[in-house]
Amino acid sequence: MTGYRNRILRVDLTNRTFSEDPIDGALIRDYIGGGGFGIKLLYDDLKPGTDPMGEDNDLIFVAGPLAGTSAQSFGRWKVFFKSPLTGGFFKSSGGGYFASELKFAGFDALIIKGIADRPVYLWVHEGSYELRDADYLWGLDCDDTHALIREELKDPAIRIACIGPGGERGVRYAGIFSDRRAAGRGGGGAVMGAKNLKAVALRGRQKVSLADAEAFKNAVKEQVGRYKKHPNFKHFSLTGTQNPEFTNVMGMFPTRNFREGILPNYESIDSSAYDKIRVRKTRCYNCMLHCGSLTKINTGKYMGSWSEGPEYETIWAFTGPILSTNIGLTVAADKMCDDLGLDTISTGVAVGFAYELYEKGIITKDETGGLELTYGNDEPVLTLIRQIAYREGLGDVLAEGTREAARRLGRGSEQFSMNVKGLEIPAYDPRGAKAHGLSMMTASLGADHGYGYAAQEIFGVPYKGRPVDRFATEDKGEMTKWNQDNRAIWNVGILCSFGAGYLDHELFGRLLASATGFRDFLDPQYLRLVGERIINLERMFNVREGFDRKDDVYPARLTNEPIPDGPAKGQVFESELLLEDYYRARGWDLETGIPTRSKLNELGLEFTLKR
Amino acid sequence: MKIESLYFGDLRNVTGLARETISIKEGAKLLDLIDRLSETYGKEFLSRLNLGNNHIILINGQNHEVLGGKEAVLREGDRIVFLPISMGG
Repeated sequence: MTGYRNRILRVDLTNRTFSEDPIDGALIRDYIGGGGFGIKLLYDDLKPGTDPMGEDNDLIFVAGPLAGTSAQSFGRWKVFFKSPLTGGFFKSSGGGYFASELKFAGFDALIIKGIADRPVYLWVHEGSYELRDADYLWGLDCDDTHALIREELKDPAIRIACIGPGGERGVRYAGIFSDRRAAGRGGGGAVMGAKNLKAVALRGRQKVSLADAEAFKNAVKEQVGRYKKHPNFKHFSLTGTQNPEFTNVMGMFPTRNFREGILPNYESIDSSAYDKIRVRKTRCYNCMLHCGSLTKINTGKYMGSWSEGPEYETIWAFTGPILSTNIGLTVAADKMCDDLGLDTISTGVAVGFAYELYEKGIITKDETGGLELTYGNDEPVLTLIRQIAYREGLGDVLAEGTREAARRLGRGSEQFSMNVKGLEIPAYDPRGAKAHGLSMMTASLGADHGYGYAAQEIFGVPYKGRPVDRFATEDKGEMTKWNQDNRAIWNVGILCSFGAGYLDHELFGRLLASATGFRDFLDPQYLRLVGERIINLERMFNVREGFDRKDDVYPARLTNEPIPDGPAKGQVFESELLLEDYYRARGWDLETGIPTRSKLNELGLEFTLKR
Repeated sequence: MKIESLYFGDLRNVTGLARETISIKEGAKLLDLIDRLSETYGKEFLSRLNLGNNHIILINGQNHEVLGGKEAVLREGDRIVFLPISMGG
């Protein structure tokens, strides 16, 4: 087989056994790869009610069919699991070189189950595999874990995905890290830690073979040409997403736990400020965008801090929620989260949640261990992040995620947990962009900004040839469906979001078909059907766990309180109206939000009906 | 009337400014402002602007295309942002 390695490795950590499976033909035909493989494998493997931190949860790593080839921007890897934060389906995505190395090592996916009796790491190399002792690594941060495994195995080119102290302690938004790239969200790190799995290390030299090398080469040449010709390529390449001004000028940069939409003095941390502290560009496997940045702080109390990043979400996470414009703190906090293995978004929102509770006297200085969580005060933040990672003091409560933290604290704190389905809301106020907000409200992961990013509302990309009013509520359901299905299509590649703007379904199909030999992939309609199927199966995974319309909901702050000032002044999120429009567009039951029988039949998902 | 014009990234390099207040005739349209800026800062301004590809324009935070495009009529105190598109494509 070409493109694919046609090998999935199953690992049972409890019994320390392995098995290899070829990929089922139907899996390729109906789900293509990447995100398609992830949801189908997870759905088939798991029973409803599985404990996310228990033996029976899966941790599934997937590399796409185009990973390890010369096609640009297909180097991302994805991890699939039942989330300890949301209790539902989760897929988390990371950059770097882990996916290509998995292909070179001989595999398309790793399905890891069980719990090891003591800390281990999985070593997969040149088609072989073993579990190795990780006692000596347990407790180490992510950078050190990488260094020591490479030393132990005497190979600096080994690629690794690991957890830090946060994952080891079951912080519910602990992530999985590979060369400072993060599959951050949803608690994959906690699942991995619960399995006593410190890391997965990979090394391989098997090149990915192609069905039609000539056609593939031509398709890649065309792709590269599009990157080079695009007028915005150079700019995005340079800055990545280090420009928090864009949501500020739209009045939807959430501040003080989603109360206002503009950070006072945001100009001091806009893209020009990041230009000054950027020291080097970084990149993922075979991606000419090299949109990553190494930043370093040279002055002030955070002098000497550096980070790969921070990207937009992280820039927001340590400024907006606490009303700080200290760029040094942002960089230092980004590095600390990378080192300790935490999702920056959920961490930032959790810190912001604590600041609001402190403001309202719901928690006091006694409970914060003397930390003064006052707006504009950056001093407590690094301490608080450490407390979260090590589950100390207030950090132990915040480590549960804001929804559970609020439940445990009580005292009226529940209304201040800004989450959907337990996942903390990221750096976009839904009141400022309705389709964008609708996607985050309905996504199976919870409030995920990438699930169906509304570029039409945020970056003025026309929809069906017409400009889109971000405040309007009409026709946003259909557009949201399109955005979500479209992202699911790219996810089979696995294509980085930032590469999506240079591709279309036709060229994508040619890349897939010439690599794998499956000519069905040439048809854009075929790809769209697969995309819609994936989204619906993710939905059905959650339905099986008890999710329905009641979970497609925002906190009252966003639906009842208008944004007080700025360009989005007066806006609320009209959830009932937008949700109904979305369910209609999706063909889901209006009352329950569950895909109808006829929709499931249409997508070949009848098997989800037997429950 | 007076309007405010904000620049980021490339256009900030071209204009040398983060923002400026501009006096322009009553009833002026967005394209009048663009013409004025093009005159003031030279060809470089338009070529870097590359509307739709490199930048979008916001009038008081709303995409100018929703407000009538370049024909949108400006009003006293309007804030015009020339916003770089920070995504590929």
